[in-house]
Amino acid sequence: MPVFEVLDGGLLTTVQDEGRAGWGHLGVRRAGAADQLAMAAANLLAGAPIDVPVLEMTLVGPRLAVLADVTIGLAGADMEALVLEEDRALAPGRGYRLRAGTTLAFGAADDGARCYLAAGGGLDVKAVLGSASTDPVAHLGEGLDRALTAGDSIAVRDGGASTERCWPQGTASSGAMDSGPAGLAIVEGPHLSRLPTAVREALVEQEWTVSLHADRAGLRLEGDPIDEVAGIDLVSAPMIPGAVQLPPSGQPIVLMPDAPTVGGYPVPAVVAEADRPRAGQLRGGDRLRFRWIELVEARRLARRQAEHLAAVAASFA
Amino acid sequence: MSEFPRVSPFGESALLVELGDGVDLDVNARVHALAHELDTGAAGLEGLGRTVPAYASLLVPFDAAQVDDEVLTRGLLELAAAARPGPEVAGQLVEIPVRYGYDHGPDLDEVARLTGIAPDYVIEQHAAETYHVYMLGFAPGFAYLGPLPETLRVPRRAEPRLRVPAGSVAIAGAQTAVYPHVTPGGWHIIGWSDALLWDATSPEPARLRPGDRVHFVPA
Repeated sequence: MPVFEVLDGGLLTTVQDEGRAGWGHLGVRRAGAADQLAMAAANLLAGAPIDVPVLEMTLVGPRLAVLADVTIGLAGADMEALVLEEDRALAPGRGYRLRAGTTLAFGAADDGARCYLAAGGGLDVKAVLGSASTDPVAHLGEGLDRALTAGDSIAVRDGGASTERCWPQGTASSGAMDSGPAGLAIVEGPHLSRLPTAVREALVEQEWTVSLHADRAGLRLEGDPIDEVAGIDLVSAPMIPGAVQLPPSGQPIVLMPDAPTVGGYPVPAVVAEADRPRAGQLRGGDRLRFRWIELVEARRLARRQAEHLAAVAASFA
Repeated sequence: MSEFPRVSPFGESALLVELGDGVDLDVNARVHALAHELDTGAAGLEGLGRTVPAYASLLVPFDAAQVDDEVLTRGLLELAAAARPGPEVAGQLVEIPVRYGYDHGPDLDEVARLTGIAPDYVIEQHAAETYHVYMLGFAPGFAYLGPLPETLRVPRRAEPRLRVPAGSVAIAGAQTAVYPHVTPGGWHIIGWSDALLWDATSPEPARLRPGDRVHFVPA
């Protein structure tokens, strides 16, 4: 049943879940939440299964009319959400009971790029090709071809927590940004050994700035160009979100979930899975530094993150 | 000792198998043969995701919780070295009707000028070949086809179009393709087809799949 009506779509509000796996051979990109950790946290806070569809809200959030009582979860960047009729401020990292007849208004995020709204037992959105993630170029139908706009209604599956949950202190979801440049752990990419040795050091020795042209396809980074790659051209190879491409300009691009499935730029590095949520919170003007880690360490970090999530989930049960 | 095949980690949950470093029909056919073995389970390897082929390489996703990456790497190296195209891998032959030239092929005259071949002969040569689907990418259902006859090879347009009509049949370099949807594009448009190339609701969403062969038929 419809639970929300969109009064204002905000800058870019889309339905996302874990993304579309298994269709890359037909040119279908992964899509899915850019910050998977915040998405999972929002679902757990709402009392929904961890992988059901949520709303991903970008930089400036939407305004939603609440049509029925519902439990929601919010995680990621703080958009200073407000229940207008009650003058109630909603911070991320918590679950909330909302009442029919109220208006939920999201503002602009000062830190972080994306906030996630989970509701009830999950957004009631039909999966296409195995996922309910929006993809404007895949011609999926079922409302997955575009961002939300005024007049759209959002249905929610039955379920959800009966109490208002709180994310445990000290295990902040990746929306919380420390001061200073963000750190992204990277592992060796498939082309590193074929690039000049200077590239390895050049990636980590400077602070990069995220370009204002960053989007769901990629974070373009700005800094001192890594000149050693000028003229290196590879035949198109498969690509994955998290890959760090080095085009002839010498300015790296961190691929995001909507990146095309193939590409011809060399890939010297890949963002460790545990740090991809952090990459999903970066916005134009943010600074970042890469640091090299071994695959073994990357797997350990990812495992620890998953165990943490499971422990919090268990504490809510 | 050849540097290929090569198997490298691509993040924590995938390996990249490389069989070569250029656009080569034989190498590409071996990529499809390897993909077929892995995707059908014929190779007997568990915990793998659907592979993604490209010209000379294959992405092999795997469940890192289930699979030892070093064991998988060794297994893939052996399979890659032995991969040979066979009849069970051969894709389908797809005939695509095309209206060439005039309003449907706004760049046909330019291609004629660049190649020094009359427009009618450009069409004849384009339609005479049977093309191989090297891979899909760029957009869902967009198949990279080739090799284009040497006489028709021209560089991409200096200025890409912001909107290429869906169904446009185009060429650039040694490749040809049909655009399944409206997208930006920098290839030369020589014709248009009403063939349905992408339907997300179909059990087989893409009309053209890696390893298929394509023949263009003037309509």
